[in-house]
Amino acid sequence: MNKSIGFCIGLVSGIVAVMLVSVFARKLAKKHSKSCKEFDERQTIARGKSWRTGFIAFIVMNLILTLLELADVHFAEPAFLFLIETLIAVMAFVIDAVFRDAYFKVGESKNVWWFVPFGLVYVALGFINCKDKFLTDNGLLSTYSIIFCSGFMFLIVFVCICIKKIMDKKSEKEEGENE
Amino acid sequence: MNNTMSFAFSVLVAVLLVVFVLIYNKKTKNGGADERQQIAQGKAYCCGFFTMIILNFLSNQAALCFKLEFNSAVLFLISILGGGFAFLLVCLWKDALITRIETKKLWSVLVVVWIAAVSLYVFRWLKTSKIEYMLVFVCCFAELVVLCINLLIKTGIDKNQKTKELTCE
Repeated sequence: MNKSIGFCIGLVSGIVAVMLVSVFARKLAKKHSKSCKEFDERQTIARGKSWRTGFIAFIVMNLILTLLELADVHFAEPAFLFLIETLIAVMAFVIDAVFRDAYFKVGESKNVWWFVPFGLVYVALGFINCKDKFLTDNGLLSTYSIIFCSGFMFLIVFVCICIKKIMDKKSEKEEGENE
Repeated sequence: MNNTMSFAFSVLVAVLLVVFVLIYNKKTKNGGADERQQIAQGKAYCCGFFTMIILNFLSNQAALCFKLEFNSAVLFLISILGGGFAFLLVCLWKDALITRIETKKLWSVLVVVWIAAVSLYVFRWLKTSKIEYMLVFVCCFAELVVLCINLLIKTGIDKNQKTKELTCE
């Protein structure tokens, strides 16, 4: 009991620390950035629709997991389930926003090459960490295997952004030919 | 599995409800909302999304921390309820709810489904006297009450504003 309370407090304080640092960094970046990059009205509406996609993805994931639970199908630890459904919902939002042209602000660079090393590092970290802990003693997917999943998430998002870029270039070419 | 048939049924009802709202939404092209309302709804979805994540995290941690022997289906359902509730509240206060669910028919269907789902939980609670069923019932009931109170306050404020505008004119 005491151990799990300590674990929870540590987890919550870690999350709060990350939130505080990110808010502080964002404020600093806003203060020092010369160009004012913001989402335009079309993008704000499109982002709303992407949030809806994420929201629905989360509900659907929740319902699927509930049904699996009801059917007594256990394949992973509860913490893994929580993290994977959050990851999938966030990924649904990001991919939807990318394809609606609402992920990057107007005038923002679309160079996300750093997603690849980031993703690869995560996959490697996952491989190192999960060597013996990929599955628990009960045969369930352990929470450690989420590191793999987050690495793959970065790679999938990178591929989606690349596909969107190619699509944009094609449509620009077609428009140029039509004119 | 037999003990949780009502659970499974209410989950299926929830799935059908989501599908129904989605189809309705597609047919009416975002419920006939204008641009301002679409932006407000987007913010409401964002709020609901994060509420769901936070609730999911908190309920999971609470269950782990206090070693509650809850069916995790209950935890998932509570987070869905919380997310939907946050979405509805933000929509309501940003004047973006009425276009989404504008017909009386849809309202009445939603209320009937809500009552059916809640009554299933009450039935399970009375039969098994398990605390988790009562928890879902209490959550549903509390959300409904808070939503109704907010709706009343909002309509009161709107009416006051209208009368003020009329007297100014």
